[in-house]
Amino acid sequence: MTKELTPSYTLPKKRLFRRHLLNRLFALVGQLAVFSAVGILVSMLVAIVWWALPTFTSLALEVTIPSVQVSHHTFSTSSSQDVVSPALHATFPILNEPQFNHPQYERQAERLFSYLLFREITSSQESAPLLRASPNTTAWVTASQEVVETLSHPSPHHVKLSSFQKALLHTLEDNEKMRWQFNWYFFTGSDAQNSEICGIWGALLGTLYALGVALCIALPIGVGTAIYLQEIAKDSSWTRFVGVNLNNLAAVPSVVFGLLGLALFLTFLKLPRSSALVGGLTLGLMFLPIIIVSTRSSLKAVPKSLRHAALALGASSSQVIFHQVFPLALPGILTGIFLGIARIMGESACLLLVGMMAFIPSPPTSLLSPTTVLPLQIYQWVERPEKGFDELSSAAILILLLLLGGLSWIALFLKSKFEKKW
Amino acid sequence: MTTSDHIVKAYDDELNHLTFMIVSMGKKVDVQLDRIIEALSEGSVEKAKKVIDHDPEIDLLEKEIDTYAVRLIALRQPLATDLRNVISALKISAHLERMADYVVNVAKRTCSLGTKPLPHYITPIVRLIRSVQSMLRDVLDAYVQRDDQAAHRVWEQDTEVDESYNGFVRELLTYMMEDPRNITPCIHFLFIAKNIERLGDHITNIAEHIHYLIHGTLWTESRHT
Amino acid sequence: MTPPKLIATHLNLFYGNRQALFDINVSIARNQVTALIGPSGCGKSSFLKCLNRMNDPISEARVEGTILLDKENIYSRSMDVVQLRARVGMVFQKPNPFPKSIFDNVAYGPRIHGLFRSNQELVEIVEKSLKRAGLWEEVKDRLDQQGTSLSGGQQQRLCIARAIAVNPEVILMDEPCSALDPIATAKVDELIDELSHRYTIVIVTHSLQQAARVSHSVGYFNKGYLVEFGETGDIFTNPKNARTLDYITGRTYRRT
Repeated sequence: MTKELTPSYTLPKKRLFRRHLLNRLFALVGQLAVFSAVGILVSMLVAIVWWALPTFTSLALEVTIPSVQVSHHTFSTSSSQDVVSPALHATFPILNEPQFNHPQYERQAERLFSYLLFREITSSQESAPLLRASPNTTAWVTASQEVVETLSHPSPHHVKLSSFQKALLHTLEDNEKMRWQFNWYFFTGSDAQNSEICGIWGALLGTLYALGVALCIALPIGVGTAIYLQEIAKDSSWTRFVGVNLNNLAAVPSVVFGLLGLALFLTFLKLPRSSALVGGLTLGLMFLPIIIVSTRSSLKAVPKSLRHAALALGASSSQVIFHQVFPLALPGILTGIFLGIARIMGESACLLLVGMMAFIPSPPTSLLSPTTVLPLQIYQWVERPEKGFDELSSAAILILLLLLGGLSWIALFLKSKFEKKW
Repeated sequence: MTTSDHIVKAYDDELNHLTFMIVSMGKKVDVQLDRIIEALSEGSVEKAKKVIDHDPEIDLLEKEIDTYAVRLIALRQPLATDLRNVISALKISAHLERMADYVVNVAKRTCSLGTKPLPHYITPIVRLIRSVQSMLRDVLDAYVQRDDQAAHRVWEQDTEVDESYNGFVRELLTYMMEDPRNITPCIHFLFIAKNIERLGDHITNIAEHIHYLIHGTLWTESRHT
Repeated sequence: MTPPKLIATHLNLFYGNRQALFDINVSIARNQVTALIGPSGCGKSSFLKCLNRMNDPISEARVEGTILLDKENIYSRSMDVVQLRARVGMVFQKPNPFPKSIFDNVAYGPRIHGLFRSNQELVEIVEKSLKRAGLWEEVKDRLDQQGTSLSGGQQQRLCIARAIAVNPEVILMDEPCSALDPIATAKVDELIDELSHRYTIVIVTHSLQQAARVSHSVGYFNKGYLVEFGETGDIFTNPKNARTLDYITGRTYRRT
C-alpha cells in the first residue's frame, strides 16, 4: 500500500528560470530604491553641512582700545562716537594723518567691524582698571559680513569695500591683527539685524520653554486619558468613538491646532502674544493626541495573559494596572513621548498663528516674554535677503536636525534597552 | 450499538484487520475440528497426525495477533470500545489457541487408540464435536457482528454440550462395568470427551468477552442485574 | 463521603446573545482532580472561568444559576471577587510569569493580600510554595533571576507556585501543559497528583491521556452542554454517552 514519493513531473526549466530572474530583479529594484533614498538623504545632509560650515567660524580683527581718562564720565552717558572714535584712531594710526582726518574715513573704518564693536570696547574699558598705568588694551572684534565676503570671494568687481577699507584691512593683515575664530555668538546670541552677530540661543531657549509648557500640560492629561481609555473604561461604542477621534486628531494638520490656540489662548484668555506660554499650550494641544495614541498602543502591547495572571491572583484592576501593566508599558510610553517631542519640536505652522514669528533680539526671560522657536527662527532667516543669513539658517537647521536625531536616538535606545519581548 | 468511523481511517482498517485475524484463527480451529472428526471416525493415525501438524499455524497466528494488538495499543492508544476491542481480541485469541491445543490432545488420544473405534463410541463423540463446532461458528459470527444476543445464545448452548457430555460419560461407565476390556478405549474416550467439553467452556468464555466488548461490563454483573 | 467543594446548579452562561453554557449541573469533589474535556469551543474553559469569575471583565458575559463554593454562592452580591480569587486560584494555558524575579513572582499574591507579618514570613511562604510546586531545588540559588528566564515547564510550575502562595482552596488549570514537552508535562502531572491531597483541582485539557493520568473524575463538554460526568476509569473504558464515546475514541461526530 506504499506509494512511491517520487515527483511525477519536473518543473519546466524556462519557467523556473523566469521565476528566479523575477526574484533577482525585484531584489535589485529594492536595492536601487534604498540606495537612492540614502543618496538623497546624504546629499541633503552634505549640502546643509556645507552651507552651514562658514557660520561656525567668524573673522576677528584686533582693536586697540585706549585707556580711559580718569576724568571720563560714566559710559552710559557717553555717545557711541565718544567711545568708538578714539579706539579707531588707536587701531588705525593712519586716521590721524591730516588727509584722512575726516569723519567719512572714520565711518569707513568703523564699517569694517560688526555692531559688536561698541559693546566690545565699552566692556573692555569697564573691566580695565580705571587708574592703570598701561596705556592701551586690545580686543578681538568680529568683522562685518562685507569683510568676510570680500575675503572669501576676492574679485576685482567687488564694490562692497572701498579701496581705503581694503588698505586698512591689508595693514591689519600685515600686522597679524586679523584671524579666523570659532563663532561663539552663533550659540550665545539671539536674532539681530546683521547676520554676523546672529545666534540661536534665544530661539533655542524659547523652544525649550514652549516644550516644557507643552510637556507639563500634555503628559499628565495624555497618559491619564490613555490609561483610563485602555484599561479602566469598559469597551463601549462611546470609548470606541473617542478612540477613533483621538486617532484622527493625531493626524490633524498642525495649522488647525494653531487656529485653536489663537482662538482659545489669545482671543479668549487674552494671554500675551508670542509668549512661550501660549506657544507651549498650543504645542500641548497638538501633543495630547500623539501621547494618548502612543500610550494606548504601548498599553495594548502588554499581553493579556499578564493581566489575567494578576487578576487570577486576586489583584484589583488598579493593582493590575499599576503593578503589572504600566511598568511594562513604560519604555514604550517613553519612546512615544520622545518621538512626540521630536515631532512638536520641529513644528512651526501652529506657532506661526500665535505670533511666534517675530523679530526677538533677546532671549526670553520668562514664560510670558515674547520669544520665538527654532523652526520659526530658521524660517525668518531664510526669508532675509542678505547673504550671511543663508549660512546662518543652514547652521540652525543642522542644530535642529542634531537635536531631533538625538531625541530619536534616545527613543530608540529606550525601546531596545527596556522593552520586554514576549 | 452502531459504530461510526474513526476520523483516522487507517485506525478503522487496523481494528478491522484485528477482527479479521481472529476470525481466520477461529476458522482454522474449525477446520481442525473437521479434521479430528474425520480422524476419529476412521481411527486414522495418519489423519490425526495431520491435525497435530497443523497446530503450529494456529500458534503462530496467535502470536501475530498479540504483536499486532500490542502495536495497536502503543500507536493508537485506544480508549473505551476500541480499547475493549483490542483487549478482547487478545483474550479471544488466547482462548482459540487453548482450544487448538485441546484438539491436538484429542488427536494424540486418537493416535493412542490405534484402531477404528466401535460406532457406539463414535456417534456420540462426533455429535458432541459437531455441537461444539456449531457453537464456535455462532460465536465467531456473534464476534464479527458484535451481536450480543447471538453471544448469549451461544453461551446457553453450552449447557446442552455439558448435558450430552455427562450422558456420554455415564454411557462410558456402563460399558466399563459391562466388560473390563472396554476400560482402555473408554478411558481414551473419557479424556477425548473431557477435552471437547473444555472446548465448549472456552467458547462460552469467548461469548463472555464479546459481551464485555459490547457493553463494557462483565458478564456476571449483567446476569445478576 | 465528604461534601463536594464546588456545586454548579442550572448554570447558564451568555456572551451577549450567544449562549456558551447550557444548564450545567455538576458537583466537584473536594481534594480531588476533576478534568474537563471536550472539543475546542465546547465551553469547558468558559465553565472553568465561571468558577473564579474570570468572565467578569468581559462586559458582555452574563451568568445565570449558582455555583456554590462550600455552600456559598460565588455569584451572590456578598461575595467579593478579590476574596474569591484568593480562594480559587488559576493557572493558564501559556505560562505567564510576570517579568520580575522568581521571588517577586511568587511573592506577588501574598503581597497584594498582605498575607505575612514579617519579611521572614514572606520568604518562608515563597520557599514553601516553590517546594510544593517542585521547583525549589531547581531555582533556590537564583531566586532573583527573571521568571521569564526559566524553561517553559519551569515557568508553568512557577505559575503554579505563584497560585499556591496565596493558599487557595481550589486551583483551576486551563490546559496547563499544552505548551510543554512530555517531560515537563510529566512533572506537572506528578505535581497535580501531589497537590490533589491538599487542594481541589479542576483541569481543562485537550490531552485525553493527561485527563486519564491525573484526574479522578472527568466531565465531557460539547457545544455548551455537560454531556457526561463520571469517574475517570468509567469514562475512558465505558462511557455511557455515544458522543463521549465518539470524542474519546476519535470518531466522527454523530448526529443523534
